[in-house]
Amino acid sequence: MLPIMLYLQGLFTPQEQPIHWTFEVRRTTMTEATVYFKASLGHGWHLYSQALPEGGPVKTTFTFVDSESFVLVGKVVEPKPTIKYEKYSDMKVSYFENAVVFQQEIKLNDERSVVNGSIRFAVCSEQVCLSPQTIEFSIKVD
Amino acid sequence: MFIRVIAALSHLKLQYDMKSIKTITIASGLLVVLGVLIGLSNGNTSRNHAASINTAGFIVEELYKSERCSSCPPSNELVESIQRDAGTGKIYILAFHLAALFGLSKEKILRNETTPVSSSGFAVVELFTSEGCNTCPPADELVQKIQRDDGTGKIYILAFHVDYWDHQGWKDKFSEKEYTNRQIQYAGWLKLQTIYTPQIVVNGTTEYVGSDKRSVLRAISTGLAQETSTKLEMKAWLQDDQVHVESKTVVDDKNAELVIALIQKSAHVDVLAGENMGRSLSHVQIVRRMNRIPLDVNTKTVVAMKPPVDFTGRGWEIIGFVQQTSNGRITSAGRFDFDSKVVSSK
Repeated sequence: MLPIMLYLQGLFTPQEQPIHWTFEVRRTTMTEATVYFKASLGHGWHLYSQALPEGGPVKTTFTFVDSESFVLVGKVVEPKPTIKYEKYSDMKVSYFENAVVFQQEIKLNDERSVVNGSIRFAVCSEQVCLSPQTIEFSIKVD
Repeated sequence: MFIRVIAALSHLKLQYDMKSIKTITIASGLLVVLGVLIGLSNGNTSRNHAASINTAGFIVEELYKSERCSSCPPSNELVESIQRDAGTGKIYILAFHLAALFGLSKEKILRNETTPVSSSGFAVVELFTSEGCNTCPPADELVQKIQRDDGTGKIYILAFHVDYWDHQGWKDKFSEKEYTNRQIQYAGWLKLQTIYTPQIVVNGTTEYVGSDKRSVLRAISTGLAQETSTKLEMKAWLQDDQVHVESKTVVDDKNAELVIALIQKSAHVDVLAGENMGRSLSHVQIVRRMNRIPLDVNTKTVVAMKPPVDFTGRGWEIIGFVQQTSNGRITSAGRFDFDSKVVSSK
């Protein structure tokens, strides 16, 4: 029993960083662009969707700093999340594993722009939840 | 039915000593490996086999859940792979089950046999948790079990409810920024990159995932077995609406401080929002007030604290401990239980 348990523990302990964010922007036309926010998740970790039932775990929230050089078009779009019934909270939660890309369309008023803002989120594994984090981004649109 | 039979068997096995249980466990484990390997080479299972494996597989899944192994694979993954591969593995799943139960009963034995508990040994168990955290209930259950099963009186459990899962519209009624700050301080002392819940710190020196029963119990055993030269005596009384606490410690240590906590021993809460919304949660050893005082040169300290409005005396206790300020190491601990002592005003 003991040797098997040790082997399994080694195999399934999340070794990588729980989450790593990268940002990218691509112009679609002269005046329009899409900003991509990619979260790469370590094995065993998940990130929650932006839309959760009232009182759910910390949902992922994007905040943009107002700027004259661009306008947001619509909201931050996310892919279809995994929906799971969480026993202890007796509710369905929506989350992403492995990797997820959020997208925000913007309309540019200037040739160049910088999109500033922050993302508030929490990552959890089966056993723990890391305290909520807020990271800032500053993405140049050339 | 099946579970009851196995549970009864495991009770019998409690009489065995550690050595024979280890032998049985390892032998059963080897049987399982053999069974899985044989099953792998067999391929498809017959329908009858599949049905019985489903039953045994369910039992295995329950064991994993009850073990609360912190780094175990998701239990359904493991069950599925056993079902898929162990064609004739029914008997080996049973062996695995027995082996796992021996593992579980081993922890009971840790309690019953004469594990060295020194007369000066102690274990201060600090749990950082929140009603709004869905990974926390197993840790809450673990400390409840430890509290209930403690026969030594030398295990001091403090449950700090952190505030970072609170948000607009809902708050864990026992959470305080002060308790989050204490967890942040431990991150500094123990050189951690992040804070998380649930987390347990034992004697200010080692930390674990709060639901990791095995590691936590091992750390508690180590604490109970240690020899210490310091001692802490505590006395408390209610006077003029304040709780007065007198602490006497043998050693005067300028590099340490006295931490005194007013503990509500148990509470039952209907959670109206947060991750555990709709559930009825029970908590133990909730820290409701915390004071930190530099150790007095005279080694006797009296501190007064205003208790919360729901303080009732009965069902509450004071836990105190001496903690090094440089690294968080706890060198002695003591308690005053309002239930077992007569509370008299001076």
